[in-house]
Amino acid sequence: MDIQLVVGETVILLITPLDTRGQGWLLTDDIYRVILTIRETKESAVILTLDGVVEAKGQTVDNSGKLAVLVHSEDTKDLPVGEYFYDVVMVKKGHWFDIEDYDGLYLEIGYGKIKAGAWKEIERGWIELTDDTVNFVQITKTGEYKITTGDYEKDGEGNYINDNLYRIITVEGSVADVYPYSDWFKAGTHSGLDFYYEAGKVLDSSNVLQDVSAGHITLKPSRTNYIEIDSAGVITSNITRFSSGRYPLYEVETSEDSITTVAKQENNFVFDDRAKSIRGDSYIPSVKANVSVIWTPTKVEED
Amino acid sequence: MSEYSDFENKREITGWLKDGITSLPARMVGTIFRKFKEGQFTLFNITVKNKKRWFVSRVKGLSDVSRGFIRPATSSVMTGQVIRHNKLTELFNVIYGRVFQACGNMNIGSDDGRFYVADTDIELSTEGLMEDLYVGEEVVVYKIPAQFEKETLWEDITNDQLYDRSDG
Repeated sequence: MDIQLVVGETVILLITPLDTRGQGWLLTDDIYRVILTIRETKESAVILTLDGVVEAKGQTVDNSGKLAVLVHSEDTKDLPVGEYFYDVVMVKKGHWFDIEDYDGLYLEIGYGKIKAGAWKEIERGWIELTDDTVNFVQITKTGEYKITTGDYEKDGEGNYINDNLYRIITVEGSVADVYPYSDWFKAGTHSGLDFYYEAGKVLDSSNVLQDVSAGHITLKPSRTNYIEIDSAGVITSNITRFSSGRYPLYEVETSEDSITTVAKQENNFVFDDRAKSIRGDSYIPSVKANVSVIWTPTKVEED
Repeated sequence: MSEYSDFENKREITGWLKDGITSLPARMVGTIFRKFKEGQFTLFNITVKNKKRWFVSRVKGLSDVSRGFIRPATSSVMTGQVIRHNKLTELFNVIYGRVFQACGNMNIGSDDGRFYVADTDIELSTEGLMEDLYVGEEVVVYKIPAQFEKETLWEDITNDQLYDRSDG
């Protein structure tokens, strides 16, 4: 539908996606990007790109999903007044080569397609992992699964040869699917504000599991403390939040002089290295429509 | 005379509420100063800006417009040239939903000064962007349907002017 944007005004476009039959959509977590683009002609390069969100997933066809794009005043302030085209694209995560199941050192990988000239279909199947290592699971251009250790397979110039899928850590005959796994960094007997933990492991920046010794860390009183570990094995705490790039270990509440509650963290420890193409991601664009960019200067009157 | 008397005097706004949002002839912008929940409704207290920066939009030739809608601009560009050059029905048809819906009495702090998001048919009480509107923000909401086309695999996209081919 045609819209009109006033330069410098903050606008939310609340978009109800309809399919080709005019029915509303139910949206899922698979829609991971919403992009509004404005261009001069239908086929010309983009002059404004804005990211939006899935505002509501929707419950029924009558109460369907909605997208929202926030247009800040600074986004349009340099756009010349005129007639343009806009569209909204939903980028959807695909599900090729998803991990379907695992059992001991066996891993089931779901259906997928690879492009080697034409598309080639790969049926689901089980593969066997190597124990006590980091498994680099990849699929070759001929459609065979391959597992290497140390890194994904590269050619002489350092380029990856295959389509990379997952880094999977195995420990004593099982997939270490969460971090911290099993009894790694098990909480010990605390003393006052000193939080004691047992030994554990961490994946270093070279994708090698390293041992980390037991120890303790002193927490802040009367606060929520976030205990985390970096890839060098250094355990720290802060009272703000878990930091990106570090592995969360514990969320601990303290009183003035003691530790009151301890919540162990468990986060995904299977690293998904699939590219958009190997995962089967897709673009769903809206029909392009007109957007008029207009300008209304503000006149401020004196008293 | 209250600071907001100019707005309050536009009693026609009751007609707007009565007719519903599909008859909205123009846009209205306010400033959120409090957001809270009551039962299933997300409620907002809003204030209209000092009238020095606001005026009531009146478009000649369209009898339905002067219902107390205000714009943050007093230029003739919107009221004169641009609107005249658009088909009014087209313009107003697209602007049929907004965050800011007011009762007749815009007295700050009174219950009548709240507006009900439920009335606008815009679900602010869900997840997403609309939940993050912050106090003091001025915003207009366009509620639009958009028909989506055939899904294209990322791998099959060839026109990188239209869609970003870079991986990530």
